[in-house]
Amino acid sequence: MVSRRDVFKFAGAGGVGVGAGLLLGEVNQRPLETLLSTHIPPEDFSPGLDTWYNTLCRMCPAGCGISVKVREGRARKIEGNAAHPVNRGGTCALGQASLNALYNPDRLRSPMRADGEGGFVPAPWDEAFEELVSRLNALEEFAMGRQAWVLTGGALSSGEEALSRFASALNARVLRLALDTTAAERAAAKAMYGFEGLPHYDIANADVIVSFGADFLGSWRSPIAYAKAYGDFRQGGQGGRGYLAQVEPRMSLTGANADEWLAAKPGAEGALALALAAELLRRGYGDAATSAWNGLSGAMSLEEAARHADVPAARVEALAGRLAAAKAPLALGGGAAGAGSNGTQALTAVAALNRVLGAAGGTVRPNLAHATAYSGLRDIEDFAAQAASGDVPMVILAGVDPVHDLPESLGIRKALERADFVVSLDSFLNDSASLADWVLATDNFLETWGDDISSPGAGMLTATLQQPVQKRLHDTLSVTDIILKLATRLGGAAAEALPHEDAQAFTRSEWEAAWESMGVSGDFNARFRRAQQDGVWAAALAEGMADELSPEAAAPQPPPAAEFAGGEAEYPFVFHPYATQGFREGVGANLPWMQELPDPLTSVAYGSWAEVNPATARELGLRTGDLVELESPAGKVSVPVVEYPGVRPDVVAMPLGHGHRANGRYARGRGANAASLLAAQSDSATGTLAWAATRVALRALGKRGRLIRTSGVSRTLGRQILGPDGEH
Amino acid sequence: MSISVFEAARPVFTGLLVAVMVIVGAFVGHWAHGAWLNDHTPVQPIEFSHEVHAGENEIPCQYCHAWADRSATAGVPSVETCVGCHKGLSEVRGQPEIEKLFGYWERGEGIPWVKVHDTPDFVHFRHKPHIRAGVECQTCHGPVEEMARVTRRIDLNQDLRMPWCIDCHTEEQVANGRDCLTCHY
Repeated sequence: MVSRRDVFKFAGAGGVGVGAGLLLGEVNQRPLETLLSTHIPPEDFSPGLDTWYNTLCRMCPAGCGISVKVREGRARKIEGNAAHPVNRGGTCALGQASLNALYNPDRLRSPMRADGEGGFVPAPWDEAFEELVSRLNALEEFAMGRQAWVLTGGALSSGEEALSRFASALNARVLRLALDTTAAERAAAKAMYGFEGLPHYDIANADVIVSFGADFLGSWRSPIAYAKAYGDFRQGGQGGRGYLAQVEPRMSLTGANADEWLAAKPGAEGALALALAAELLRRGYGDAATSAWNGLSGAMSLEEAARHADVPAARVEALAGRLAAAKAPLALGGGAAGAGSNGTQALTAVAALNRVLGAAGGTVRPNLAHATAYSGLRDIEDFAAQAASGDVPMVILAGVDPVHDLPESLGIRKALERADFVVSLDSFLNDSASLADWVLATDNFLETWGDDISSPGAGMLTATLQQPVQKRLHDTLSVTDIILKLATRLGGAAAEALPHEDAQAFTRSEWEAAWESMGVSGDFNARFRRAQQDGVWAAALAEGMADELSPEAAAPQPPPAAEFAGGEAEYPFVFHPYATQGFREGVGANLPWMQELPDPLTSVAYGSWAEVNPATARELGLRTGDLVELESPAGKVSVPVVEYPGVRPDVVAMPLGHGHRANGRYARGRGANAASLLAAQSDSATGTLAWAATRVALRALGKRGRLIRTSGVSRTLGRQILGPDGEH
Repeated sequence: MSISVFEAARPVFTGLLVAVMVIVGAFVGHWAHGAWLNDHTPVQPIEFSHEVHAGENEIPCQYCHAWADRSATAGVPSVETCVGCHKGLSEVRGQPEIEKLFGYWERGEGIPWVKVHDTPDFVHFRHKPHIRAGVECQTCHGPVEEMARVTRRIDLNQDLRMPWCIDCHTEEQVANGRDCLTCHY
C-alpha cells in the first residue's frame, strides 16, 4: 500500500532531482566565448596559422637568438633559434618565460608621473617629454659643473651606443652597472692571454675541465652555449667522455653534474690553481712564456694549497695527474672565485694554469667582441657622494634596477632619494623606478628594434638582430626611441649626434656603419633583410686570430689571502650569494613561471632560502624550514633555512634575485634580497665590487618560515640509485 | 498477530524509491536544460543575417570565412571586409544594425561576435582537411543560408558530438579517422 504521505515524498524527491539536474546543466554549460574580429588585419594575418620570427632574447647578457611563434598577431611561444651559433636552438627557462614579462598585468601601460605622495599617475608622453626637455635645458644653463648621470646595464648594443652618445652630448656621466662586473676575468685575460675582453672557452673540444667557481651550466656568462658544448664534451667531443672537476664552496648546478666536487674554502681557489700550475711546470709542462716564470717558486706546494683550501691533498694530486695526462685540458674560473678581494689574482692564477697546460690558443681562444667595461666601486661611490652633497641634478635609469640588484651598502638608494630629478625608463615599477619622479613605460623586447653582440660568444663574431614580432600592447616606447625623441626635441649637440627617427632607423644605421668598417661588401638592404630573417649575423674569426693571444705573459703573483667584511668571531660564516638561471640578479622575480619553477638543487619554489650544511644545522639546533636571521656588517634579512649537504659547514649560501620591495605583484615581498647583505668590498686589483667577500652571522628566530618545496627528503631511501653504497 | 516482512522492510523500500526518484529527476532536469534552456541561438552584437548574405545574395562562405581551406580556424571577417562592401551599399545605410557596423568601424574596434559552434578544448578540430576533402560547410553547421540568426540546434548533430564525427569518419573511410590522436592530441 502506498500512502498519500509516500506519494508526496516521491513527488518531492522527483522535484529535487529535476532541480539538481537543471542546476548541473547550468553549471556544466560551456561559457559564452566571443570571437573578436580584427578591425584592419595586417597583410599576413591568418587566424590559426603560426608565423615564426627570429629575434634576440634580452633576459640576460648572453645574447641568445630566439624564434618566436606568433599567432593572430600575438607572441605565443619562444624557442631557441637553431641557426644561432651561440645557443644553437636552445633556450633556458628564463628565456621561455619572457612572455610573462610581455603580458604581465603589472607592466606599465603609459608614462607615469610621481604624485608626490608615494604613488604614480598616468600621464601623456608629450607631458613627459616637455618636462624632461625643460629640465635638460635648465641643466645646460644653470648646471654650474653639476652633471647628470645615466645608469645603464651596459649591453653591447646599438641601444647602449645611443645612450652613450646622448650622455656625452649632455656631458653626463655614465655608470654601467652589474653585480658581476667581469672585471676580474678581463684583467686575468689581459695579463695571461694579452687581449681585451672575455675569452672563448672551447668546452666541447676539451677532455678534462677543472672549473674554479664557474657555474657554466647554471648562470655563468652564456649558459646555453656552454650547456650545448658540455653535451659534446660528455659525449665524446675528444673521442671519449670528458672529465669535469668543479672547485667551489657550494655545489652549483655545474657542481652537481661534475665527476668531482672539491669544496674549497672561499678565497683559496686561486692558490690551488697556482699550485696546480707550479706542479705541472715541475712535470715539464709549459711554453716559451712560462719558462721564464722560474717554476712559480712563490706558489704553494700541492699539499700546502690543499691544506689552505681545506680539501683532501690526495684528490688534488690525482687532479694534477689527470690534467697532466689530458690531451685538451681547460681551466675555467669565475663566479665567487673571481668575486673575492683577491678575485683578479685568483682568476689570473687560473689563466696561468691554462697557459701552463697549453690551453691558451687551443681550448681558450680570444673573441672579437669587446666586453663591457662596467663601473667600479669608486665611480659608484662618486655618484653617491655627489648626490649626498646635492650635486646630482638628474639621474636617468635606463632599464636597470640597481636599488634591488646591487648591494644597499653602495648607497644607490640614498643617492636616488637625494637627486633633484630621477627618471626611469622601464617596463615595471621596480624598486628603483618607485623612487623616480617620472617612469617612462618602455616596450618589451619583443615589441621593438635593437641588437646585441654576444660576448663571450661562440668562437666567432656574433651579432643578433632584434625586431618586433608583434605590435605594441600598450602606449610604450623603447629606450632608444625615447632617447632619440629627446635628442630631437633638445636640438643642439644631442640632435646632431642622434638625428635618427626611431630605433629601427638607428639600428639600421649602426649595422650599416659596422659592416662598412669591417669591409663587409654587398647590397646593404639585402644583407640586412637576410639578417632579419636569420635573426643573426655571424663572422668566423679572422685568419690568424688565435695568434693574437700574446706569446708573452709575466709570472703571476701568488694570490693574497682573501679579506672579508666582518670579523670571524662576530660573523662566523662566509656568505656565498649565487645567481640562479631563473632569477639571475632579479630579472626573473616578476615572472610567475619562474616563481613557480622549483630550484633544481633544493626544490624550493616561491621564495628564497639560506643553505646551511646539515652538520652546522645540527650544531645550531636548526632544521629545514626554520626561520633564521642572517646578519652581515651591511644589513640583515630573515629567511628559512634549507639543510644542504653541498655547502661547506663554514659557509652560508643564498640565491640572488629575490626580495623585491616593488616590481609587481609576483615579485613584491617574496623572499629576501641576498644583495642587501653585501658589504661594499672591492676587488683589490680592479676596484670593482667583490660580491663574495662578506661574512654573516646566523641566528635562529625560534619560528618556522614559509618554505615551499616539491621534494620530501634528499635521501634515496635505500633505492641505491647512486650505486650499491648509495644510501645518503 | 502476524509479522509481515513486507511491512518491516517498508521504510527501506520507501527510501530506495525516493533515491530512484531523485536520480531519475536529475536526468530529466539535465536533459530539459540541454533541450530548452541552453542558448543554442545566441544574440549577436549586430543582428547579422546569413539568410540575407549567404542565402539571398549567394555570397560564398569562404568570401568572409577566408581561412577555412588553409587553417584550423575558418576565421571571422575583419570589420574592414564588412565595410568594404557596405560603404557602396547606400540603400541599406541608415538601418540601425548597419549603423552599428559603421560604429565599430569608426571607433577602430573589432566586433565581439558570440561563438555559436565550438568544440571542447580537448578536441583539435581543423577546418582545412575537411574543406579540402570536399565536406560542405552545411554538413556540420546546418543550413546557415536559411538562418537569420545562426543556431547550433540542428537535428543531425546537436552540439557537434563525438559519435556524429566518428560515424562520418567511418562512413567516408577517413585515413586514421577512428584514431584517438587524430582529434585528441
